[in-house]
Amino acid sequence: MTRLFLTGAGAVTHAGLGLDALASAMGGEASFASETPIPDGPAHAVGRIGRLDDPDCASSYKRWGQLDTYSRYGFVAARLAMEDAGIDADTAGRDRIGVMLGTAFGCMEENQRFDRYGVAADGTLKGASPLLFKGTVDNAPAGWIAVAWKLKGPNATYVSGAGSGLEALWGAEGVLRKNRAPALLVGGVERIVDLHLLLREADPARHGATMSEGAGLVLVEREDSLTRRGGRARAELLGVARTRGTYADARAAALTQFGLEPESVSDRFHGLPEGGLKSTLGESHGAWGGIALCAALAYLNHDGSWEGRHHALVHAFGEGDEHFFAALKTVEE
Amino acid sequence: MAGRIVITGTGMVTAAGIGVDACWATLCSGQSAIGPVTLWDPSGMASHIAGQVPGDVDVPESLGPYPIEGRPLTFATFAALEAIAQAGTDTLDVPPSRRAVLVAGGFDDQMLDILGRAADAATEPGVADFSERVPSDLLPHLDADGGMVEMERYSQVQLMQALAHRFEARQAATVSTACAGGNTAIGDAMGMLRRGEADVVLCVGVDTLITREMMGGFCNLTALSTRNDEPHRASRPFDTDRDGFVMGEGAAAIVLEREELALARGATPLAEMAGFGYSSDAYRLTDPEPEGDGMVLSMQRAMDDGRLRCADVGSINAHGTSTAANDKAETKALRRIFGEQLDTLPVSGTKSVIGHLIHGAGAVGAVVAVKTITEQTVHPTANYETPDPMCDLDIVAGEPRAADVDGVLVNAFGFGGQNATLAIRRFAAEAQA
Repeated sequence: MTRLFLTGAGAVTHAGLGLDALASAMGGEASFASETPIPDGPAHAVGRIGRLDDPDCASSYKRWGQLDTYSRYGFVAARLAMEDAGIDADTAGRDRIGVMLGTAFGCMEENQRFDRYGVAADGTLKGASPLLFKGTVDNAPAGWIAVAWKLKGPNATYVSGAGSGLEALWGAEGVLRKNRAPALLVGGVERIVDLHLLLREADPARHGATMSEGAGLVLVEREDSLTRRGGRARAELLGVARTRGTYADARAAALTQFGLEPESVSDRFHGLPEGGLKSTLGESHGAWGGIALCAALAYLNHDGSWEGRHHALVHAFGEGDEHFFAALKTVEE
Repeated sequence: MAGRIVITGTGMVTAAGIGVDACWATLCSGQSAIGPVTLWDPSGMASHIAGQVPGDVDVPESLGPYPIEGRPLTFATFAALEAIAQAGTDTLDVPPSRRAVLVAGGFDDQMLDILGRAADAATEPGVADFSERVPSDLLPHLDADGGMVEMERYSQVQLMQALAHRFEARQAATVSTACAGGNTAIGDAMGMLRRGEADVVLCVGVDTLITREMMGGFCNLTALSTRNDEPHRASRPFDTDRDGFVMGEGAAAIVLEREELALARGATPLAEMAGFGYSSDAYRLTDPEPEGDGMVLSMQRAMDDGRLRCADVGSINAHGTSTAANDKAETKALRRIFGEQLDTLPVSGTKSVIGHLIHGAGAVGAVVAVKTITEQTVHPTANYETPDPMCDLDIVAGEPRAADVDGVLVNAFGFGGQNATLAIRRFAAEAQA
């Protein structure tokens, strides 16, 4: 079976851009802001990024100004991942490289903006710019990334809830194993708006983690593509498992599927609301899987292994009792 | 060829009717089902016509713990139940872990309205108690104790979970690639079956975007037909006198399973789901690439995946939106693939009758392709009266055409630049060489 590798990563979180910022956040050097979404109501801690201005994107991409905030998160993460991988899309095959993303809330902000500013109560248009409408589809980030880098390969966006980021990796694995693409940009994107702070998920007392936003994308590449272009593998992707039950049961089933012994695997990158990275990175819903993949690579950059182990499980909750697990393995130099 | 995937059930609800047979009869009549928007007052819109589902759709009050509320879930449920009944999967001895549901679309615009009003109310200063700020009609949508909005109730996830519950599936996913979504979901389902992750998959494409917001947005882009006085003549793909697309609503569903499973249980394969291809235009979010480059990639990849030669393709279910940009680009793409064969290759545009179902469009196309194969008939494209010279296609018009159709390509090209194509072919007990 063809081996797959993570060859680049890009993260956009409240801690900043890139893996170093992510590493700092994991070290406890980032803090959440406090907001009171409901006047006189309880204050919530929030991992906000806000409207993202990226000088590199602004100078290199003429349509940058048209991108909504949700799309900007994914776009900047893609830029960072492509740069991190050092990939020349022309050489690697622009016609076949694709994009597969996941999100839980998607384009809600632009839908709301269009609803409020674009259409009057009587149904007449209020002169809203057509540009605003471009952001009203969940697949806008994947579309913008494909347009900017001229990537004509498979392109899909999953909207199945909080597990969508790793669900995109699940979809990507199938595409890559079947050699439908040499490489795919994969991950999750999430933008939170005031509305989301009214959700039960926004209440840490109920859900256990602070709500956050951002994006995490990795470039996943087939071994033959990596070898052909002489790129550098950061970690090997052994596979993605979709399992069900309690976390412990689902993890055990995933380990069986991967053929891994429990003690050989780092669990640091789990998606449990407490006792893990979500205490510093927040609950970023559909973006979580992608951000957690980036976190795993950031950790590897620093330590060369995952707490002395050469395998790591990256985990995200799906809907109901479903879990997603991605199994990573270190790569020998 | 081992490991083929077959279609054993289909379901559909569109402006053309409720149920596959009703829809097919309307499609074959050559008459468009487009009419005035009656769901709300569209008089302020440049376009106030659409393909609305006629009458009430009969569905259960709930699917297990999931109440059937709103048009997306209602339509999706109807189509799913029709497909499940035809496939006979309720008595299928396949455990939930080997069943899956793949959905495209299902966003309920009602949710946006409810949640937007709740957010406005919640952030209004001066009233301490959140529940007192919220209009009374929204209270049922709030949690009893904390006033948090129940967002998931109207989300795509809720729809996916309700269908998964009914299908007894423990694997489920929802994709959102706009107009290409239905085909993308089916493509993912094929991947699951081929990789051995499931034995049987229910695929549903659904959208109900006849709303102020979506129609307003497309009006803003001048993409919708404004032939308000003649709604039946408004959707006219590949016709010179077209002036934009017409919004539609509805759902379509198919049941896919591995051939050996279907045959072993005595099911009747309706057709083979042979191939899937997708691509991105990598051009613009709102316009197709004018030379059809991305469309060519999508179609060619589907044919390669299904091992179809051009000669195996007997009909095209075109994306055919009735916009000049799409129709011309799709024509160029088809010509680049089929060459002279295209002169006599029957092409039909289903959107001429029912409008554009966005995420539901590809799934509708798949069901229509199955009927095309089983009936050996290509349905006519409504309103094809003055052929666009830039679209030199063999458009079936006026009456249905009997044809020897082995394979059908189903095109779906999305807002955002995503393209997806299905290759569906006649089921033969012995696989083609």
